[in-house]
Amino acid sequence: MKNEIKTSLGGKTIALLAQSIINGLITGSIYALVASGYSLIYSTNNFMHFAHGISVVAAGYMVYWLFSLVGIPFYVTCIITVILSAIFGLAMYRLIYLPLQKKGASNVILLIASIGILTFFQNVIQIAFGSGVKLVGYIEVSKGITFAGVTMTLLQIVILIISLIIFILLYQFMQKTKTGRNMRAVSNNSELASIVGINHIRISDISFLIGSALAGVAGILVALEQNLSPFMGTNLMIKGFTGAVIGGINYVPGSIVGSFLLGMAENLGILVLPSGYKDAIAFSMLFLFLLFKPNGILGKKEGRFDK
Amino acid sequence: MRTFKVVIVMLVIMGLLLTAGCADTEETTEDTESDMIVVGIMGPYTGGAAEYGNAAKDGAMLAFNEANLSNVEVVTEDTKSETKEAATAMNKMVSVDNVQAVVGDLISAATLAAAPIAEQNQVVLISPASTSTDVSTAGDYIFRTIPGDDGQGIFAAQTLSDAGYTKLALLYTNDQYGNGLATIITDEFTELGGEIVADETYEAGSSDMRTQLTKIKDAEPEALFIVSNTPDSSVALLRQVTEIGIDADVYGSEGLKVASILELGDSVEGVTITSVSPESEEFKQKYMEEYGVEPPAFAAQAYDGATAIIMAIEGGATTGEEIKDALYEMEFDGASGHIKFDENGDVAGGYVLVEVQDGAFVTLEE
Amino acid sequence: MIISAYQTHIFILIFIYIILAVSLNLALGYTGLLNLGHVAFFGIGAYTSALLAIEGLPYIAAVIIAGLFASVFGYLLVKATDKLKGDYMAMATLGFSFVVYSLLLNLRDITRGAMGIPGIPKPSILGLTIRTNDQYLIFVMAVCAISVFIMYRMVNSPFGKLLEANRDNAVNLRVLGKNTFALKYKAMMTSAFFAGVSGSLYAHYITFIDPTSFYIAELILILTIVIVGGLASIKGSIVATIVIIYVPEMLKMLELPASVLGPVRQALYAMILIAILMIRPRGIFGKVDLE
Repeated sequence: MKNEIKTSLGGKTIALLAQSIINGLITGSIYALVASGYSLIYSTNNFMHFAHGISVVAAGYMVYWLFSLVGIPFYVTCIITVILSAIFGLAMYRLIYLPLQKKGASNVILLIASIGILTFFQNVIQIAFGSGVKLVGYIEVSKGITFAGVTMTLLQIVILIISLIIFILLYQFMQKTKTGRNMRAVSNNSELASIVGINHIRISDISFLIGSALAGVAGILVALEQNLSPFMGTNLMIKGFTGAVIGGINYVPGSIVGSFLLGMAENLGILVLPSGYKDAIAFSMLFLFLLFKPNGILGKKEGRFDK
Repeated sequence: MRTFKVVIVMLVIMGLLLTAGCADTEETTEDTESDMIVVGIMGPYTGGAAEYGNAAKDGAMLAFNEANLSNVEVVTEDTKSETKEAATAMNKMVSVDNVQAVVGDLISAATLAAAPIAEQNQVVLISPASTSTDVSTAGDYIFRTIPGDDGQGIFAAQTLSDAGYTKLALLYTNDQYGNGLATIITDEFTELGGEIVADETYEAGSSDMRTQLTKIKDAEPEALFIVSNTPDSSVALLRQVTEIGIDADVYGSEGLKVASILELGDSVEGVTITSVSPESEEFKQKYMEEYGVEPPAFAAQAYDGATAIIMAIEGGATTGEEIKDALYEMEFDGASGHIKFDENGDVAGGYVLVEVQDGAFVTLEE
Repeated sequence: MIISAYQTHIFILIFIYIILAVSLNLALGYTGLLNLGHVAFFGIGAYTSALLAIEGLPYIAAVIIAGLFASVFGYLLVKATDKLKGDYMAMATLGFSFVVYSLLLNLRDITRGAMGIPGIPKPSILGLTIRTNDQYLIFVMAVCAISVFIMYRMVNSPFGKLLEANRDNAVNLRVLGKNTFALKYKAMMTSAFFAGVSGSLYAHYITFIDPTSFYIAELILILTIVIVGGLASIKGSIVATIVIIYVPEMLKMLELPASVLGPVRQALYAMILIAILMIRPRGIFGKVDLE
């Protein structure tokens, strides 16, 4: 039992605030990793791929299996996981979504199909790994580094840096490469894009590959930072989706900004409100943004009917 | 009117298929009508509470396998911790399998949804884990082998107060279990002269409690009491307690007593759990032999629930009503302690402190 | 009774979900409102009715107020989301469902929060109390028949034709001088009313409700029913309710080892769902598409 002497009440409040902002950033980076891949896929395909959540969870379990059980070196495991995640995403598109689209299924049908995929793999994971919580255990749990009254672990700093690097790379890819520009063209106006000769299926392939590879990265970091259980995908997806909508679901950088904003709002909000309202804050933001700013903070204008 | 016909035809076909599906079980019950007694086990085998559900199922199965009664057949149902599923599972077991007694459910909400059906059909329902005070009054046929929230709440408040703490922080899951227990601890601890300096909640299954913990750290409690009933949240939470660097001594309710948290290694050393009286060494041995892990929370209670039913059947009870009457009469030393049901079907149960020492749950001597 | 108690239970659930599904189809299929907030109306109806009945209000009054209260929320929701296009409306109404769930969980003084409401009384109509499940089945069947009949008449009336015309081409209809907003909110209010009624039927049947009964699992269930049945097809919704509720029950008849029983059943259910979509990508009786 320690009884540190407080110098001033003001200092204490600022420390609390600073720590909550950092907490918001940590949470936000996890949301952003989920949201970026999701919104990349949404922007080129225009349907809600809720099974994205299971890509993240599957990647986490892959790390657990290869690294913790089989004993493959950690960095090799990471590379394998990202590659397999990308292939997993592509397979979902090619084996489920594309055949459905070819048969004329609407986006709502694809949404239901994606929920079916999510349910299926959640249960397959439970059959394979059991219902217990799994820890990867690559990094030992210890007290974070305290700097200026703010505590953060090394891993969390690494996660933040990795997310930033990925987001910059992603932004560069979307802006500078031909494929990236084609993807943006499809997301802006898919009819026009196909008239100028952009192959929509190829673009969808690429968006599922990259989006799911991002899910792979998210899965690795979630496995390290949190822990794994078969049914965590739904929660991850709900928050990732909320972050994406707040920032602009059809624009990847927007969804990243939105995720960080969501993380901040949740963590700062419960400084004032009882903590039971944490999810209520997130969902109210989701609802209010859609009502008043449906394209999110940075998204392209397409959410409203033009009057 | 074609729609109407289609619907009728479908209902009939589905009804027939369901009946055909159950034909198997019905035949066997008919063949041996007089001596075959069916007993059910239900709980969440999928979803967030699956780890507990499976442990309870394993515990109950252990008892049935050991007893190996020739006239008892066991059926299991998954309720996913959903109230509607619990009602459906109960109905299915009552009328298809013709069960006389059921061990389950775990989550109080699910037990409360299944209780009226058990009551109406005169089927015994013994919950190994539902601690809500509402369960006491749910009916004559409703029992539990775990004491209610008030027992644990009072014990926890007393323990913390006796240990000399005056400033307590509470962190609990925002569900029936968390709210129920937190309310009782708050009342008792304040009455004993202590102060609740922080009162924080989180959604069941969430994995980010950093800001709640930051607020708790800021309130400078001497002890932190955690009420959690989803293992993934428990693990995330204990990890963040270490990372944020909370100096307070960490306590928790029995929901924390789950194998997963031991994987956190050194950082959970010294975490103290108020647990219903520990499983007997004998049960621990048997469970480890069978499943290779230490019995998690509720496994021993499920074992005792099953044992109570087995004893009633061995004593000659064959129907739900006879089993119920036998339960109110019996008294035995089970895996989770001394079992004697009071007029509400509750057990008194003692509590002990369990501490994590060298990566294992160790019961502290009084 | 000729049917077992288990089948009675399943039939009661089916009739409750038929009302819920047909009413969602009224908004989703016939009117083209991508409403994922239906589960919130269901929950609002259940809570309103349960709380009023516990306060001692006669059942008839409780169920009607439950429906009306839900329909007020229906009006507000359609008013708020009127300017949003398809997917965005879906997301906003999904947000609405989540907000209502959070409120049910956190407004503890009114809803008892996570503790739920146990001991909801069985309905009593004109002095007759419904005690057994067989009686409840007859009662639910009657309410279901009346509700579906009203909605059936509605979509086959000139008003219904206007709804579909508005869904398929709103601009043309506005050119003709029709108030398209009035069409939408009338449809949505009716849809929400019946969702509220089915919520009430559910609450008084199970006799225990808590916020988790009105969250994402339930939302997915009713949305799946309507989509699998097909948009703008009452027949489809009815048939799909039967299929979607029966399939998991059938899977319970499979002999499986106890250790994997839960997840294997759910995985099979998911496969059957995807297979149905593959075979009938517009749903079993679906005729229309939504963008």
